[in-house]
Amino acid sequence: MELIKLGIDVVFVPSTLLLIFFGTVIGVIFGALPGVSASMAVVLGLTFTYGLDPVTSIAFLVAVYCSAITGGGITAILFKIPGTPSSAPTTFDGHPMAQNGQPMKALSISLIVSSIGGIGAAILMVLITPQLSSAALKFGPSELFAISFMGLSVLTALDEGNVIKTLISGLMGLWLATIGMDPIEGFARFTWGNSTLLSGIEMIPVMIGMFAITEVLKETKDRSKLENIKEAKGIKEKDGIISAKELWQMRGTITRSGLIGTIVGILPGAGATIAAFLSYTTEVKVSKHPERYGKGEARGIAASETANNAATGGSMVPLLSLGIPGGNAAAIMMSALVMKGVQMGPLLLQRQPQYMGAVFISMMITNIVMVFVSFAVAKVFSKILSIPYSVLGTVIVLLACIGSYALSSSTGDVVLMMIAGIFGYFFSKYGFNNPALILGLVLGGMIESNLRRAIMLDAGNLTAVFSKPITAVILIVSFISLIWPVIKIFINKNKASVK
Amino acid sequence: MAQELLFNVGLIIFFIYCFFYVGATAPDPVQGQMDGAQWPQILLVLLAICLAANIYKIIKNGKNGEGFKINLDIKKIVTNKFFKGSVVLLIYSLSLDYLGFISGSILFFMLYSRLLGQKNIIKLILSSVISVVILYVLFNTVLDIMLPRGTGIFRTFALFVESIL
Repeated sequence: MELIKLGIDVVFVPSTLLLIFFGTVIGVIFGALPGVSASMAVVLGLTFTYGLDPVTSIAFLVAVYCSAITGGGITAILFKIPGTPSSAPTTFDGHPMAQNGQPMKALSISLIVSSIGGIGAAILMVLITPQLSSAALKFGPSELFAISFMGLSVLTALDEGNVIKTLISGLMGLWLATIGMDPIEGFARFTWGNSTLLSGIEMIPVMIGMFAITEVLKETKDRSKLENIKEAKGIKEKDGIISAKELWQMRGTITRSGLIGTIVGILPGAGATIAAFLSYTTEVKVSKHPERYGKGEARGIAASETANNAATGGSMVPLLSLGIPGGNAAAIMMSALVMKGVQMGPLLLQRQPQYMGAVFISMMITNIVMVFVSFAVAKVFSKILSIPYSVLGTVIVLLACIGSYALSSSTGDVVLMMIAGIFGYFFSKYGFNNPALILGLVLGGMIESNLRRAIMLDAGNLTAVFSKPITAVILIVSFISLIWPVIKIFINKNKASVK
Repeated sequence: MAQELLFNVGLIIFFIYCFFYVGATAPDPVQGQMDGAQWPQILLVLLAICLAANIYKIIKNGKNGEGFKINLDIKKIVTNKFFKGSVVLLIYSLSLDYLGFISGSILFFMLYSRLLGQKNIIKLILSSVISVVILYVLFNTVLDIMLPRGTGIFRTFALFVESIL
């Protein structure tokens, strides 16, 4: 309570509140632009903080960080281009819903649940920072391997009618993540002497290629007239903001995803992307109608967007209490705040509690302001859908190119994105699963490095690695959840043959 | 069906090759560690097993239904919109370093927009120039994300446009 009072005292100053508003506006816009990730948004925001005091800097950067994650969902829904990697699962249901003529509904779900996730995580952050920080420190490589493996357990559920092809897709993603310099022994894997491949396959160009370019290629092949998405599909469903009743019906999804997002955000090295995939997975698993996911299910959008925003609050826990940044954006914020004289780590709570309070109050205000700002931004973006596809499709390709190029100012990434897009076209044409491949690629590096480090720490004793209580429980749950859809197919077949 | 079978067979051959390739290029294993080749090899074995199962499924379905006919009509492939679109995308991405973002994107925009059905030349030119300039100003000028300027005459052109903007 003392912390909240301190936070209110330092943040509720007109100039700070104005900067929070400004940070939210630029955060949402930066996040919505493909190629400007949450980390890049924070970097771009840094320039504004040079003349500010620590509290105002904290408030401003927190506003940019939280709203950038939310902004990423806007382009994921409208164009199938995730503005930030953590919005990738939002494309699974958000884009189909927009294609069905309900872009505003999809956007309103995304923005409102993002806000709820962010506020919930901020409250949890204050309540459980000391306890959860010490628990997270107990997570070694084997536990982190198990958590990442849990993210993979969705594979077989992504397309239950095509389990083998989905598994192949996921395994291919995991294999693609092994390309480049070996993280432990430092030798080149699958590079065939090509120096560009040494740094590995960049996740963002592949993601943009397989989502955006593949989609544009599909439309190029099938579309002969000038028409927009709504007209092409011939669907005229009622569009509008989600009702309070519909939102209440999703309370279970929002609560689960908020908790998953916060917890995953706290784990060092995990972050918003894994949180979003993991909570989407969980929702597919617990749903009575998993077949609706991937086709415009509102709960799919809610799961992904609640979790990625909750992870922003979670990632603040190790950052503030232990001085361990949960991800890239948190690392950038940390360096900026240290520059301002903020003492990150266990001493922060004792010596500079006002900064901790400032983070909490800024997150609360940002998440409230964000809903209104995002609606205004989203409204402008949603108008874009009525532009003829001959212009919109081409602009999507250009945005995808800039998004890939901006990563490291390399046209090699643009070529990689195009190849991924063309490959993605064939891949989905033959029934394979693009999201499963992306899931494998996202989790691949983390799974491999943690598994190998765990084996190294236990001197090659695999039993010791897998028999640790937390690891064993998570792995058993993940394995059951991975094979359950396969077992279900056999059970259904048996039932059918008995009948 | 035949194309799908070929796609899967191609993948399985490639992954079997990768299995041996990574084994041959990896350093000697160290006691008590999982070496850098083992993890990809585990994945490649699983991939080969799953692909073999998928190929079996395709063959089984083929025998029961459509069969395996390969219709290699070159003219049909080349005139296909997907093929044309892919070629334009690849050429655009490969030429970005030489043409630069402004010139390359205006040309690309006109070609791709035409492919997507826009036949009015005036609209093509206007929409391409306006869209590229808006994106260039937004990313290059406002967000300070340096976009490729190209080489030679294209670089001079990009610098000229930048001086106006």
